[in-house]
Amino acid sequence: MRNKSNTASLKMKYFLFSIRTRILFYFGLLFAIILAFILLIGMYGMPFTDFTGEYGQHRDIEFQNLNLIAELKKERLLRWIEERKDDARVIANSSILNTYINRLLLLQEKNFYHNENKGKSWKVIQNEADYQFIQQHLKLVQSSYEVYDKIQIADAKMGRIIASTHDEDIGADVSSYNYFIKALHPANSEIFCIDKDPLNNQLKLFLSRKCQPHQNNAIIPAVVIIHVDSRDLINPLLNTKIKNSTTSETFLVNEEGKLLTALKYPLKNNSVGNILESEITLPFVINAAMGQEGITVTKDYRGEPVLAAYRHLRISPDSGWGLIVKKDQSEIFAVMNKDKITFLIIGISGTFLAFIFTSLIANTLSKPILHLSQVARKIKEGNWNIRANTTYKGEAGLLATTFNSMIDRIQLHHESLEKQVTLRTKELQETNDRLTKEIEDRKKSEDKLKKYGMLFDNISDLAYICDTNGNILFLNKAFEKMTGRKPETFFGKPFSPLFDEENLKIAVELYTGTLQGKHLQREVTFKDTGIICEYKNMPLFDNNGQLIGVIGVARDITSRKASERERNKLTKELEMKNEELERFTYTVSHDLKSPLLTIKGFLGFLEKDLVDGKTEQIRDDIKRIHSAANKMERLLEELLELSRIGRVVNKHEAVSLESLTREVLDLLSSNISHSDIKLLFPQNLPLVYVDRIRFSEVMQNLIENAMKYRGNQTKPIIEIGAKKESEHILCYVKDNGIGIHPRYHDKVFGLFERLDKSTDGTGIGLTIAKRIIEIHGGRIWLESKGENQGCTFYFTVPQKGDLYGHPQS
Amino acid sequence: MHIKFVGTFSLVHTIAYTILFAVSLFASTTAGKNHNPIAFSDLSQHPIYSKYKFTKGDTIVNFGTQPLYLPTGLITEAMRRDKILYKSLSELGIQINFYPLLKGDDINFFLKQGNLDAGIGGDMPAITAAATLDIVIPSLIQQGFTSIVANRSILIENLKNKPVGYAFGSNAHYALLNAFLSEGLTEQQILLIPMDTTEMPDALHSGRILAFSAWEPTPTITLNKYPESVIIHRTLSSGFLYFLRSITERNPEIIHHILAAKIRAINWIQSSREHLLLTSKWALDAARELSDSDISISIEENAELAKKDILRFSSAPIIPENELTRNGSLFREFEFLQNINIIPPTIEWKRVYESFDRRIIIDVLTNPEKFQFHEFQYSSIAINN
Repeated sequence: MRNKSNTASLKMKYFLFSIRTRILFYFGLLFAIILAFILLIGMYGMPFTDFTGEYGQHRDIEFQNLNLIAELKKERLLRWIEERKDDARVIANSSILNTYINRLLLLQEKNFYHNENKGKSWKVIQNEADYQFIQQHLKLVQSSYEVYDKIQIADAKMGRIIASTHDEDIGADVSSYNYFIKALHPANSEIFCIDKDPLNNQLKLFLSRKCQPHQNNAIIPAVVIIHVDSRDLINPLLNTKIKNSTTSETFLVNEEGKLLTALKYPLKNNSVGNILESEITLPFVINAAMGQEGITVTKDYRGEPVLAAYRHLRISPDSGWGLIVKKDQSEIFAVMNKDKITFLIIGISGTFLAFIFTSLIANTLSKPILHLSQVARKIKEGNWNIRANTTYKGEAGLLATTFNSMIDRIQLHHESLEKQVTLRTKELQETNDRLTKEIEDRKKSEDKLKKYGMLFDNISDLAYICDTNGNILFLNKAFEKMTGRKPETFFGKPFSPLFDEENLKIAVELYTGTLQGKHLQREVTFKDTGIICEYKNMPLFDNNGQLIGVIGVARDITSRKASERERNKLTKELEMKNEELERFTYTVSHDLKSPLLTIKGFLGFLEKDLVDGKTEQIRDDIKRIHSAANKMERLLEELLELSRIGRVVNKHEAVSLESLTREVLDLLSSNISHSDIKLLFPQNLPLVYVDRIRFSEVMQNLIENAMKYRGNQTKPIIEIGAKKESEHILCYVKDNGIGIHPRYHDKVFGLFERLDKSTDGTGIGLTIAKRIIEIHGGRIWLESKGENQGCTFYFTVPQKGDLYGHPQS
Repeated sequence: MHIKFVGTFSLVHTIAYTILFAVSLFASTTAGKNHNPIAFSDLSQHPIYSKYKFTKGDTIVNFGTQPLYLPTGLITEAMRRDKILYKSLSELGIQINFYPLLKGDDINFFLKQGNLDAGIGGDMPAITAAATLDIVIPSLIQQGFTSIVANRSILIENLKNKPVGYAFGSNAHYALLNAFLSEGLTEQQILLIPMDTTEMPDALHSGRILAFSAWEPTPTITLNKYPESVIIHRTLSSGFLYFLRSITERNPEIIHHILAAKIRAINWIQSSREHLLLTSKWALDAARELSDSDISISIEENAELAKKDILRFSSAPIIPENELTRNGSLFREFEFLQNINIIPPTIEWKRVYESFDRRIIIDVLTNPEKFQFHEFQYSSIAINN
């Protein structure tokens, strides 16, 4: 189901984006747009230009027509009004008529003032000849223009009708009517207005003018009033229909916007517009009433869109009417609407034709392409023998030919490729099989590794596996303890960061050697922890015997190494000691042998001398034996003393080197005082941390030697000094005596070694001093350039000690 | 409104007018000092006016006319030849001199300077004068249409953003804006091109402007010269005859006689076509003498324009009362002039309203015999050049 919908969607997509569809759509759309554009411009004009299109031109023609009609109607109306005014003027200015009017007025006045029965008096006038003459005259004027309903003469003073074409009007009071009042105003001549007839209340047009037979006479005797039935004239004038128009309408309003003529249609509220009562307050109507003229597109009193031409009719300097001529837009543009339909039909037909034409073109264009795609599909399905039809003309034929050439080439290439593919596939298959096996083996190895992982993790030695590229594959927990690094940071990475340069060289040599099949073992030190490990590597093979890496174990031998060093050190010490003991034994035996031999010899002499009775000789022999025995005793005492050093250790303490020196010098003061030796030592000698008793022995020994071996120095000087160095105090005893040749510098510290045998001493002093200094953790040596160059003995002692009284460096 | 007939001026009236004059003078002086926005350039240096020698004095009345302001020129040219006028004024010891000027603003300039005592102007100059000078406006002298002429038949709304020629501050300017307003457009939506009326016909024909707004005879001249032109809108406009109020101080009868001369001229022109054509010729001659511009309108056409204008009415040219109300056109024009800063905003309508005095002409009209409305003695040439 899903496949079907996918296929349908693909088909739809293909259809939408195919060349045919696109050409159809774009060209068809383009054509439709251009056509629509042309039609619209043709109909409505081009914006920002003067071309208004058919719509505009039609509208302009209608406007012109409407304007013309409005102008004609306006002129016609104004002319008609002027003609009526002329009639009124003629009557009003007729001197003959005015004479009769005056006579009638006199008569009326006489009757009016002197006859209480006013109603009767007015009717009486009808019998008067003056009245009849006037009436005849008025009827003559009336007959000259059929729309005059009646003509009246009203008394200017009282406002009563004194003469009329209709007898029944006599005596009627018109004094309150505008047409009468305004007519009397000195500024006004003819008055033209629409008002209600007082007699029958019908709306009429009234034209009035004061009678003024003598224009320079300010006295106004009467007013002429002409009644005009608007229905008879104005309406036809106004309602002159525009040719072929059913909606056109003309109406008049006064300066207040009140209707002066009936409307053709009901108002918006469906009421009928009443003359002189209903107001049309539309802007163009008010404009017309107020003095503007023009043409506008607007809505009329029904709310219908209309074209309206409006005119202002100036009836008098202070009054004017508005004339409106209008026509419904629907009627005006009905023709246009018909045209619109025609245009629409043309447009649709044109577009339809365009689509057909475009479709044909699209077909022609897409057919060869579709054919090519069909051929390509068949080729894709494996039919390499099919070729495109080259009978198409033009680019399509060229495309087909080129396509075929391309297919030929592709076919050749395809066949060659197929062979290669087959071959390569076989190779790949083999490789694939191999890799699959490798993976299986690896998996097995990994499983095995996992199985033994726990075991490996629990051993204290570092266990590891590397691949053939030197990357670490496996590490056990001991790795962290040995290297100070987390194992997970090294998986898949080389081991080189674990070592310094020298050790890395060893590790690499071990690794590469193992890869070459050697079972090697090396000692390597980890850089970060300093732990020394004994590495044992062996190559790792898979089930096929393929080398896959190196497996190894590294054991921490740091303590073992330390033990070995300690042992070696001790061994060396022991050897030294043995050597020393041998030397000591030899020396002791040799040096002790000497006085014994002396004793033995002189005992022989003594025996002889006793026999001989040589008393002096006997004394000398006993002296010699005595001296040799003393010497031996001294030797033995000093040996004993030497042996004590190291066995009997006194507590170390901070000792003032200055005070100790003074003490030693006090001890040696008798010797010093019998000599000219100058002693130099500073007062601020530092504190030393020593066994006081033993250290004074050292000082005493050295100072004594310096005194003893002054030689022939006339001004012997012994200098004692010390200076603080970083971890010890460097002391020295310096003399300017006989010096010691450099070849004897080490020898002087040997047991019973005396360079000058003539001097007194056992030759153990310096040995003792050396031993004492060494017990203190220091070092003693001498510097002398040789004979008579003096000699300086240097020795180091600690400047501080620990809680237990042991000196510390 | 009940019309009261007023007879001859009584002492009370004289005192009242004098007080009114004094107050108006004070007000106008104050207004003039502080707020007179009108920047009259020195027209005394004008090439035409510099030749005028304005003689002033209590016995002189200098009257400014506008020969180019057709068709009022017919009336004023008749007045210039009215022997009865000169005789009536000379009986009062007054000599009247007529000075033709180009436009209403020029008349106002010389009124302000005191070189003129009376003049003619369209509604805009008349209202401006009423707002800034102490004048009295007793009567109409023109009531016709200002037209918007386009180069083809178009609606007003089609003038949006198009160039339209006009004369700034004139009734044609007002009429143009009014027409736009009636179609819901604003001044900002018109491309107003200020120009002289004499330039407008050719500018329209050349396409420099799409339309122009002007008073007669420019629209008629344009239609004659370029028949494809069309009048697309008209607005009723008026012209007035007005005097410096100081004249009433000298002698209020002066205004009466001049008004009478105007009424007489109208009556004389209306009395026959021959008179109409004759006065039309006089007006055109005077216009051409004053200006070098092309006044391509015939005597008959000029006469027809006059007939369609104030001369159409046989009624006296009284100022319509409804025009002086706050709903009336004069008040709206007053507001317009304030909006465009020709009249300062501090000037109140009351000042302008009180300049209009309908009673004076009624006084005259009620004495037809005295003022000889229907006696005519016209010279063939202007009596005082």
